[in-house]
Amino acid sequence: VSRTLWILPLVVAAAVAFPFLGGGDAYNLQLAGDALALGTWVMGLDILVGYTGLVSFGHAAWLAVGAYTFGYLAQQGWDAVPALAVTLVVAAALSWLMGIVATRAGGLAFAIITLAEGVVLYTLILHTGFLGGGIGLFGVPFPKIAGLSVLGSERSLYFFALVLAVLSYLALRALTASPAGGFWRAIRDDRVRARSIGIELHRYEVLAFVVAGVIGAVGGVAFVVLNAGIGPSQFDWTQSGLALVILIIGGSGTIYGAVIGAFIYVFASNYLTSSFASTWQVYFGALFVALVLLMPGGVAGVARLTSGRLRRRLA
Amino acid sequence: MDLDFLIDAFLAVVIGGLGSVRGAIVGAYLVALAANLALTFMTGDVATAVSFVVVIVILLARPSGIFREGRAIA
Repeated sequence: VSRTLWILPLVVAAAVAFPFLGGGDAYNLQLAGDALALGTWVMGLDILVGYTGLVSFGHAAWLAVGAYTFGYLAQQGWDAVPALAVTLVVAAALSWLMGIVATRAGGLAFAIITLAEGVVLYTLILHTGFLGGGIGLFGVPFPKIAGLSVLGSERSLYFFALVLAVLSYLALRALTASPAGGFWRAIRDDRVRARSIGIELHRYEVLAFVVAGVIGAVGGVAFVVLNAGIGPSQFDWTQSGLALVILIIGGSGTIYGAVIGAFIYVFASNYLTSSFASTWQVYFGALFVALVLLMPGGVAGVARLTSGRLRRRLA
Repeated sequence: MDLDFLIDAFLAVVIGGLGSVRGAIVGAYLVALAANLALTFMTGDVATAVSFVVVIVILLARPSGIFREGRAIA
């Protein structure tokens, strides 16, 4: 990891320069912001899937928790900073509760329970009147950030999503490099061995679940600000499938792979819908299958492989 | 959507116990029973949520399904 330390500042510099260069027209900027929001959301899932080896089918719940909590507080006129803090606390508490239940079972049962939890939460939200009920939460105003009204233009929204994505990435990288990260990988590689060397499986699985929930909710915050709301179809169970698709395209177990996958998904699906309005999913499905067959480790896996080969050739 | 059948089948198999044909049959009956009983007393989407709660409870009691011996580790 330390050998590739120069890549992150480079990518961030490119991302900051992007709106000021050729590619920065309003439409592409909006797509890039969306991709960053979805990427942040899927980064959280990577902690469960890529690092702990638990496949969750309910990650859409965290997009909803982040979007609804933050969106509701913004509607009440809250500032973005305290609203974000409250959102993180709500997401942590909810994911702790749901994580305790879900991690009691491993493997497929975990996948089913997370799916079920997602459906239950979906139904609860759609029956909560003050959250907009079955219509969704709309008309979310741009919150002030520390008292300043900086949000509004496409460029400012893009930077809002970028800041959240970079902060989430740094937090997750620090976590995966910590002892807890080592325990997660040990659980992923061999549960029996992990337990026999004294790792409390349940405790670290719940921790992974909470981290996934909190970071997923941060993605939800970016999502609700960029879209000024969230509708029911944006957090039903098929969205949880989308999170897995994005993660597999980008490459799991890398964190940044989630962002790569989100960019491919957002740009491919948008440009495909403009050419093939009703059949775009056929082409996206073909693209997905081709990517999985050609790059089993996702785009990030291929990037890692080729950089390793280059380094060996140069050495 | 028709995708819902996918979910019902998946639920039935996991509840019954993977690798057990008997389990799949019993699981399918349980899923259908839970969904339709709930539907008798509640409106559509609440009923779906309730049948999922039933699934959670069954899986917490028997993480590897009803007809599967041997425990999951943890």
